[in-house]
Parts: sequence; C-alpha cells; structure tokens
Amino acid sequence: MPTSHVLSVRVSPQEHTLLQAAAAHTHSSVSDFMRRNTLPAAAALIMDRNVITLSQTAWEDLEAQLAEPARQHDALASIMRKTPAWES
Amino acid sequence: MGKLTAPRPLEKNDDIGNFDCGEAALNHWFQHHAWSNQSSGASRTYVIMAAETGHIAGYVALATGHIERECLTKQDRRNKPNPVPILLLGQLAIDVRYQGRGLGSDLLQYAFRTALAVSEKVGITGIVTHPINDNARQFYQRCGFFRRLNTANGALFVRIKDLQCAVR
Repeated sequence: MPTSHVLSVRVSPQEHTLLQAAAAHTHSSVSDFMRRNTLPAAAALIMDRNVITLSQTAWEDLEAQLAEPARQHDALASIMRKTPAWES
Repeated sequence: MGKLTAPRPLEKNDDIGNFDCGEAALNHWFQHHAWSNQSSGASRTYVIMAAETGHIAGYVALATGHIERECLTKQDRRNKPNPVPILLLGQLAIDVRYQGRGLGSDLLQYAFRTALAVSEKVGITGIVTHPINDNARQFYQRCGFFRRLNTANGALFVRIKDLQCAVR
C-alpha cells in the first residue's frame, strides 16, 4: 500500500488566501494545516456514527452472526475478571 | 501511579483542556464534543481521575444506536426488518501520563458492564465501535471485539450473549 496519497481539493481564490494565511499564522504548510484541522473532524464524525446502515449482503451476514450460539472468549473473560485500577 | 477515582459522568468544570492521549482525533473530540454531547444527552462520557490532583487519566464515551438494513425500493421499505439496537462505544482514551498500566482495558470493562446493565433494562444486541486507526483496531480486537460489520470502515462489535457468557 502507498504510504501517502495526494488529495486535490478545489477552493476559491479567497478560500485559498484564507488557508495560506491561517497556515502561515500557525507556522505550517497549507497541507499540514488542512490535515491537522480536517482529520479530527472526520474521525469525530465516524466515531459518533450511531446509526449504521448495512447493504442487504452485510445485513444477512450480521443476522447470521447474531444467530450463532453464545461463545466463551478468553479475552472477554479475562477483561471481565480484572480488578480495575480504581478498585485496587 | 496514585489512587484513581472510579468512572463518573463528565462534569462541566473538569479539566479537559490538559488531557492528551497522543491521538489528535480523540483529544479533539474530548475537548470539543464531549461536553456538548453530555449536556444534550447525545452521549455519555465517563472519566477516571487521579484522586490527588484531579487530572483526567482517561475517558470513555457511550451512546445508544442501531443497525439497520438499507432500503432500495418502496416494496423493500415495507418488508424492512426491525433495526438491531446497540450500544455505541464512541471513544475510549487514556492520557499519555497514565498509559501502559492497563487502564484502557479497565475502562473497556466498565463499558462492557454498562452494556450488560443496559441490555437487562432496555434490550440491546451488542456493543459496537468504529476504530479510527490500526492501533485502535488491534487494541479492540485483542480485548474481545472479534466480530466485524461489513461496512466501509469495518466497525467491530461484541454480542451481549458473549459478554453474558464471559461473566458467568
């Protein structure tokens, strides 16, 4: 997989000037400024997605997974057995 | 590490500005969204703190949600199956000064116990999270999020019945 991608974003001349000024103000390149300010917003949107819409195929896969009988998982059991730091 | 306080709901005057987990997206969310979500009821954030200093050592944010099937046609809408209710584990982060001590899995246990309590009171099928990078994905998979939703970002989930099995 490539380690980075080039992303072209079309902006108006005014927006370009604004971005350049903001980047200069924070002693960074326009690219770094854009990354620093847009990625947290993108992540917040993804992390907060509490309504998840699945395709027909993905829905059938979920239904099949939900129908499987309960299973003992060592990792889950071990987390649930732990004494949390605030109780020790 | 000194004594830590048990998770409690985020309060308005908590010192969120000095929290740094080393992940910009999780710092940003905590500092810009956690309190507004707490006030509106969109999600609930629980914090653990150093008892002596009041520093926030970590937080976890939870919300209700559901999984639904897409509808392509009118006919399809009529036959739409009921959505699957879930608890969303939106964010979980530990301040860099407190990392490496298992606090992430402690907060995860808190989230799992909350999910079990919610499932008994109102009914949910599982707990879902959207990992934002490979490190987060590996952490959740190591901690029991073995199942994956077939979505673009590969959301992970744990079924309530497997959690019930883990506490028996």
